[in-house]
Amino acid sequence: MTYPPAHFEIVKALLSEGRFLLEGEAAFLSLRENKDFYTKFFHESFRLDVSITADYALLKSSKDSDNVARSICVYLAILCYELDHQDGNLLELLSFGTFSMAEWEDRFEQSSYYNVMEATDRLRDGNQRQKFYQLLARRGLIKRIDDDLFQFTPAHRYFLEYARELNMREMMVQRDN
Amino acid sequence: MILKAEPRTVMRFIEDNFEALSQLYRIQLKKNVIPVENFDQVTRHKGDIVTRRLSAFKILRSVGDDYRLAEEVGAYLGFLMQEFKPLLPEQLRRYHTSIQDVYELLTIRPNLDDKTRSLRLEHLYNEVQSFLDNVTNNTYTLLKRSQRLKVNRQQMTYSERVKEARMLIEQYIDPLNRIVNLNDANSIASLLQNIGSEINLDRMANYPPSVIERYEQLDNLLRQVNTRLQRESDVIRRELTPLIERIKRESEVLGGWLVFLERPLLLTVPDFAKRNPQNIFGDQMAADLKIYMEQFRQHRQASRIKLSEGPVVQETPLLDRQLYRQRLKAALPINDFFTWCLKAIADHPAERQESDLFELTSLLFSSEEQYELVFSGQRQRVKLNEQYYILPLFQVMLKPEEQ
Repeated sequence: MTYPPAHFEIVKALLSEGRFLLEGEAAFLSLRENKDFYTKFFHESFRLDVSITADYALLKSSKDSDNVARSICVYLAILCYELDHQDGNLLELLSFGTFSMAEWEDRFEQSSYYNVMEATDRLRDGNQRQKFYQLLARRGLIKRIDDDLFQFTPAHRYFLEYARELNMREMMVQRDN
Repeated sequence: MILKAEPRTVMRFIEDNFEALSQLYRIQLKKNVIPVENFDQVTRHKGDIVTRRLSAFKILRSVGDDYRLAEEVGAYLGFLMQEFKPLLPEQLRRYHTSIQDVYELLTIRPNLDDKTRSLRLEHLYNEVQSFLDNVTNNTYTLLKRSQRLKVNRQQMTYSERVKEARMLIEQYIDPLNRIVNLNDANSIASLLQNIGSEINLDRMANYPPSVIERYEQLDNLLRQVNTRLQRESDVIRRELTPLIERIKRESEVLGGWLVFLERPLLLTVPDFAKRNPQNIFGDQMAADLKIYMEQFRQHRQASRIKLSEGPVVQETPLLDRQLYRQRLKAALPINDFFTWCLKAIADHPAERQESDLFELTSLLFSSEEQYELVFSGQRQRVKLNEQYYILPLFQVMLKPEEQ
């Protein structure tokens, strides 16, 4: 049998590196075109589910208390909260804006939610946060422009969807009470 | 209507006090009436004469203790400032009935006299015009309100913004969209389109010029209806709905994060990818290694080596070379080296005398360069511990220092 093109890259990115595949990568294109094959492939081989959207894809780990994911949520939550203080649409800022790590170091330290960061291992101080940015870049969540500047890739929406769901759940709870 | 003033005077009065009036208008927009305390606040720095004229010119009417601007003045101010209260869709929808009613009056009796026909055509025209103006105002106001919501100057909380956005969509924007939707048979837009085509036919009948003129006007207006409503519908579809949707989404995301930040360590988090680095060691390696190491840990506990007091080890004290070297140097020059040695070890224990003798002899070799030996060629017999040694006879002296 023959495998779809870029099979090695797909498996390496999704399984070995655990990162997002993004629109624009050859592997992503191949993955989307062979969606059925890979859904089955990953399920039969590893009992894992692939999630493919219009501009990103990832292999879910079927764990809902992952530490990396929690750190990312804390990071994004505080970033969004602080970002909301400035003019402009939050979602557009996240999609198209450029962020400076040095500037955000200051903003995080002044944030009223800084204690949550301090309580999160991967985010607890400047050094850890530097490593965290490397992790984000490795996992395909941000694209680094230089040592200081970065942009979010479309993959960040995966976590925004989670926030929306959370909000929805909370509203249901309030309605029921 | 106004007894005490010329219309021009009233206009000038409005112009002079436009600031105060626009403030009053805004208050009325927000609260529907102008409460007396707000009125006092606005007119605080105005003279008595101004406040009195406001009612004398019938610009302001009192409603109980509060005030309200005359409808016409309010509409005029709104037009000038381009600020309106959006009409509820129900208020707009009544145009459906009113336009239809007026139109039916035209058609229900074919033999209307010309004057009545002309008058009713005029009413229909006014009604349609008023409807169009209101729709335009409504779209514009909604757009402004949404933009304000987006910028969020009032610092509303997220849930308030979601609520506001949802309210705008559900109560104003969606119904407005239905009203101007040409594809919906029940919309006012469709009604106007139908009337338009019928009027178009109707005006071909044989009427006197005054009636024909009205028909022409109405026909013209109805021809514009399509384009104008289409434009409003475009604004709603292209700007308003996406804008509100974005605000809603944005607020939902923020609301979600705030819920998350309340319990960041307890809530479940999204199912994220996991790295599965390919190691040259298998998964089993660590476990195997642990078991392997375990056996040594066990082994050490059952160790066979016992530490106990063994036999006392006899230590043979060595010759203090340092000391004897000094003695040797002090005794130089020595005529007969071995005799000197035997004398030096005479008080040593018998079993050590032999080894000490050799040790002393080695002193000579260890710092050979310092001594000069002069052998006589004779030998002597020496007895030490029942052993006989035949030893050479020689002199030891210090070498003269080299220049």
